[in-house]
Amino acid sequence: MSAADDEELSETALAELLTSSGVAVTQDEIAPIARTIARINAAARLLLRPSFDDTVEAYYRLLEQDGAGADA
Amino acid sequence: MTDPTALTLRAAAAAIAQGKLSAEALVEACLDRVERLQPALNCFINVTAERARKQARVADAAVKAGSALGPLHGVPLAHKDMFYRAGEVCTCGSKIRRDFVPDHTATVLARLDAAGAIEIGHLNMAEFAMGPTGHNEHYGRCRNPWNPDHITGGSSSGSGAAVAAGLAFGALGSDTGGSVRLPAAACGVVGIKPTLGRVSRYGTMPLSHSLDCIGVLARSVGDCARLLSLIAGPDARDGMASRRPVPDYEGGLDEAAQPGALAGVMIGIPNRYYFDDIDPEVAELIADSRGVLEKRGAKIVDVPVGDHGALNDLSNAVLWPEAAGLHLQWLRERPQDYAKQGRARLLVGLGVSSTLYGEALRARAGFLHELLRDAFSQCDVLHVPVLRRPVPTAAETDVGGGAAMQQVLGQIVANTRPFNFLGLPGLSVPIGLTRNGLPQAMQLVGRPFREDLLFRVGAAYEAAAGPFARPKL
Repeated sequence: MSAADDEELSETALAELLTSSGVAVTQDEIAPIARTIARINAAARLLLRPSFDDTVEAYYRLLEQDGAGADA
Repeated sequence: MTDPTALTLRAAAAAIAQGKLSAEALVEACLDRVERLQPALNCFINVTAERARKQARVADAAVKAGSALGPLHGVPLAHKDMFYRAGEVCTCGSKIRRDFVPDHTATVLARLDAAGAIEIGHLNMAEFAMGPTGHNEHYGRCRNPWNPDHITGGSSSGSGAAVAAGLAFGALGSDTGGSVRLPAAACGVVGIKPTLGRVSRYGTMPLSHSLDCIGVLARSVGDCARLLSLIAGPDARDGMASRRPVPDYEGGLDEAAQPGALAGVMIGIPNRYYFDDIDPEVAELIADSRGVLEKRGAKIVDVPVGDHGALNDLSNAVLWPEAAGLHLQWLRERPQDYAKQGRARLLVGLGVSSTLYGEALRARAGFLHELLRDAFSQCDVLHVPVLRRPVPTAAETDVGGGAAMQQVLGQIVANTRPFNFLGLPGLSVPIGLTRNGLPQAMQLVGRPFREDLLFRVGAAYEAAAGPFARPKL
């Protein structure tokens, strides 16, 4: 499932998004989900600036390399 | 021997190996305790008593025959009900997998079996390991041995409560956002979440492949060190398990118990986030624990950290999309079989943008690099509370699936989740009781693969502070 991460989804759009994944949702479930997603998006706007060459693999490499340094 | 369940895991293993205690007597002592306390605590989903008795008889025969014995020979353990054993039901704390029988055995269970451990049952847990409190709608709430009105912490609720109550000498748990460290802290036992990749996840229930870690809980630092040394290490059946060799975690713990053992060790106190709105009682206990480490020779320094509050929120951009992907088919076909809280969390995952998910994963290297450069260049270990407030009652956390629930749960995992996102090891060590009679814990966090140092610092603290109290049961 995908949605634009630079725009807040309205509750209606969120309900449609969830329904389009084949999962039935009730109206009372939507508001808290929307709030949580809004908080995640706010954190992302604040923090997420990976460069084009930052890869997922770089993270695992850093974990292992730092561990190797600790062994030395 | 008056009450063998009061021994540490290592002492029990030594007593069996020396013929001072039989495995059968030890297993019976644990099973008697389970029978007496299970109605009040609800730690177990399934007790495998007969298999345990049979294994104990075999273990005693091996001692008498002078056979080579493993480091856990005859020691009763019990594990969170998410570790697969071929041919045995593994519920994952869920209704959906109430009758699930795996066809293979988890590497961690196989390694504990090979060390001679005896599994006495499967422990309660949050549904699919999705909650930090210990609630479970399907199997009933696991209750805290210090006071059953309070939460155990989760998701490894049964692991924390059973070890604290002396029903088992150690337990496996899993930690995706704090699920080993939180129940360890709330129940007054030691728990370690190792570095991401340190322990094989083959044959274990997945929640979030980028964050899941298998950890252990026991009643002392040394016991945790032994358990981790046995389950850690490369595994050809888990491509994400690190190939790094496993250090001798127990080696050096005796020296760590000596005065001055922490000379040269720098303990870092993060200069933001981890102490925000901390309860004064908790702050006092944490300051006292810092003082104990200082008296053992450690130097305390303030260290800078980034915006870990936002990092905490950001980890949800990884955890819940991965979990939702795993659960999508069941969410479509069996929505009524999820508890409301678990379902609410999974639905968040369906609403997170896939580009955001990818970006969050790519950004992890930068955040880890920043912490290593800014904080760990000045210290060896970070020292923070596991919880910022006294352990809450079940009623305080029993708030349905709405915004209030999200707020309470957010408070509980605030100090654990950032370290899952970063992949760093964290050791929870009990440090005292708050006025409500419930335990509190310090969290020691290290550089990648420095579990050995965390154990050393934890053991030094334990030696100075003495063994932690047990709940009166």
